[in-house]
Amino acid sequence: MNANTPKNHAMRCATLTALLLPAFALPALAAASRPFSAQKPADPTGTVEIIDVEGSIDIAGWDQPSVEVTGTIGAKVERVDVASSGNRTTVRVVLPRGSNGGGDDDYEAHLKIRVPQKSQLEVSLVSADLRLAGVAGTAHLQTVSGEINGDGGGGDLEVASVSGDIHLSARGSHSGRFKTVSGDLVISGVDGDVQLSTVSGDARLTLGTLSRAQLSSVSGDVNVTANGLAAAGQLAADSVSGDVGVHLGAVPDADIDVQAFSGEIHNCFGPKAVEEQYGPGSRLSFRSGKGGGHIQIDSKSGDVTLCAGK
Amino acid sequence: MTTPRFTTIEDALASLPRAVQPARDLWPAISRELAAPPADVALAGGAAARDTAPRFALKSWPLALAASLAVASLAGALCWSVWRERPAAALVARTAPAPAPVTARTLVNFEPLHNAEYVSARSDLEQVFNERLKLLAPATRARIQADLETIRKANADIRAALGKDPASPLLLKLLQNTGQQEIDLYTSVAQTTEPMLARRT
Amino acid sequence: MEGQDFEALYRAHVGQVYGLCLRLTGQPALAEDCTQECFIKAWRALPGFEGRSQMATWLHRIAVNTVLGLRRRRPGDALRDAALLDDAIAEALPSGDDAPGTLDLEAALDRLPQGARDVLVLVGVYGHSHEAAASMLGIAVGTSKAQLHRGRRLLARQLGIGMEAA
Repeated sequence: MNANTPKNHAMRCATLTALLLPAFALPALAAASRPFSAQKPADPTGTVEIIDVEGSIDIAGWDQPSVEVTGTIGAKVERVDVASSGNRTTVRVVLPRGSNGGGDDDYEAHLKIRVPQKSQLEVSLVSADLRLAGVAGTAHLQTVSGEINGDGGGGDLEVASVSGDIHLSARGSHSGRFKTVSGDLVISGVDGDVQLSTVSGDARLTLGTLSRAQLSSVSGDVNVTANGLAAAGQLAADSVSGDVGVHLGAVPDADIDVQAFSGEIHNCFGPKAVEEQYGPGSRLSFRSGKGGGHIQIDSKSGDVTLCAGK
Repeated sequence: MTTPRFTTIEDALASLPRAVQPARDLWPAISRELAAPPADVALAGGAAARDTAPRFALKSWPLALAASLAVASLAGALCWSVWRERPAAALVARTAPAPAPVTARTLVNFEPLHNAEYVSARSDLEQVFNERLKLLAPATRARIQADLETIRKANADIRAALGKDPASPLLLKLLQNTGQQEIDLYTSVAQTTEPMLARRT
Repeated sequence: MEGQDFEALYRAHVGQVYGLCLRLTGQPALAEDCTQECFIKAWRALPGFEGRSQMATWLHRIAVNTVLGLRRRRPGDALRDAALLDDAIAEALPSGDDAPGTLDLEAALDRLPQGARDVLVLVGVYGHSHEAAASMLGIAVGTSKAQLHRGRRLLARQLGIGMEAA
């Protein structure tokens, strides 16, 4: 089943090298990017792994049991490996040994990749931008500085960025884990379990009903708008200096405990926050509705806003 | 007898200094004791102590993951995303030179079971992080360094606040989170720069 | 929790823990042992600390527990050293404080019977409730209140201070 035997692989390498050789031999000539295309059969519910340093990757789900890669690659891109083994297909953009991308387009790969719509995705990019749509399996996406846009197709999401911004629609998804350092995050649609960690990136989440939310920030502002908190749902948020805003569509049945060391607490329901008895800070602690759930927000100097109902 | 300063016993007692500094710094002896091998844990209370000592009831989920993984799997202890199946230890083996000596900057984890491995892995992870930074474009590198500064400054702010308000579990928890954020940053950079490593053909 | 962060916690709380140990044991050297043991226990108990109660209260609880343990293990060490205690407390006072008055009070506290002193220290100096103090000392709440009343009466007599209306 595996068409990518070492022999074929070597032949492909030799061919590509031959094609590339003139470019290396005559560095004075502007090297052109070249087209690339490949297709491999793929397990309809298998995993597709995509690795690229620079450029742009556009992933779309389709109803074929194969992975199709088309696009252009820069002159200094050594090759693009597309290989299937068992239920895993890998698309890897390979740069010459010793180079790590130079910030110029010779190292870029701009690829459109079609994958079976129920595939699991594992995407590792450095500065390449990612667009994603119509893939329903679990998606693990990571980037350093590339941007991530599109929709999660309804599957679970696990997204990590260092400085790239993330804009994803996750309608139909029941679990989302998002981690950023300085990239901004705009996520909509997760209904269920959400985890977020940011250092300085701002996060805006528009979610369904939360069964479990864990939000952590250093200086980024975090804003969550959700339909509501599930019965016995848990929301925990903490921030050092970023502001935290939680807006629920319905008044929750939860024990609420908000503490701010020097930030202000603004709440639209429940009693007013009180100053701490020992030491600085203010606290808002009360039972909302029938209780059962738990909302806990801790902040050092960020302001906290908690609202519910129309 | 001197003239009484207070009108009531309550006032008098409440005026006494709650904090009294010991004549000498007790921290060195305490930290030595805490860094000692697990034998103390067993002596301190048998099975119950063994059950509770290794685990930390931390709210942050990455370490909650670590709590359930074996000591040997540093991936669980240090990596956010276990699904990558590329433990920090493996990353380190591939790229790091001989582990740097433990410097004063390196945080020491008193976790009895993880002591030596944790210290070594943490130091290695920092090294991998620094190596990988060099691979990145200057603008990206600058952003990452700025964010590391943000985390460290937040950490310092919280410590300063703790100095003035010792009775604050809120600050303590936030301090813990910033420590975790720093490790997460190293891990993120280490993992996301993997595509840049020179590959063998 | 990193070791460096636990050190920060230590530095933030050692004064109160030592102060508590010192007044309960009456001996600086024993109070040092008590403080060390308290923080070691605190580190090991940290997994069970949910973080929603006051850290200081939690540490005080461990400190009192440690003192009680020391008392059981070293019954011969019942000798309190008033002079050393004086010096230790004097060091803690901010300059300009009415030192003689405060030291008189500490000395008077030191001369009280142990049961009354324990409660006066926990409730009067450290501001704990009777419920908390009783729980820490392993006594009934009623006993705690009785000890407090007795201690106040004795102190008042020694210092010539009026009693607060009970």
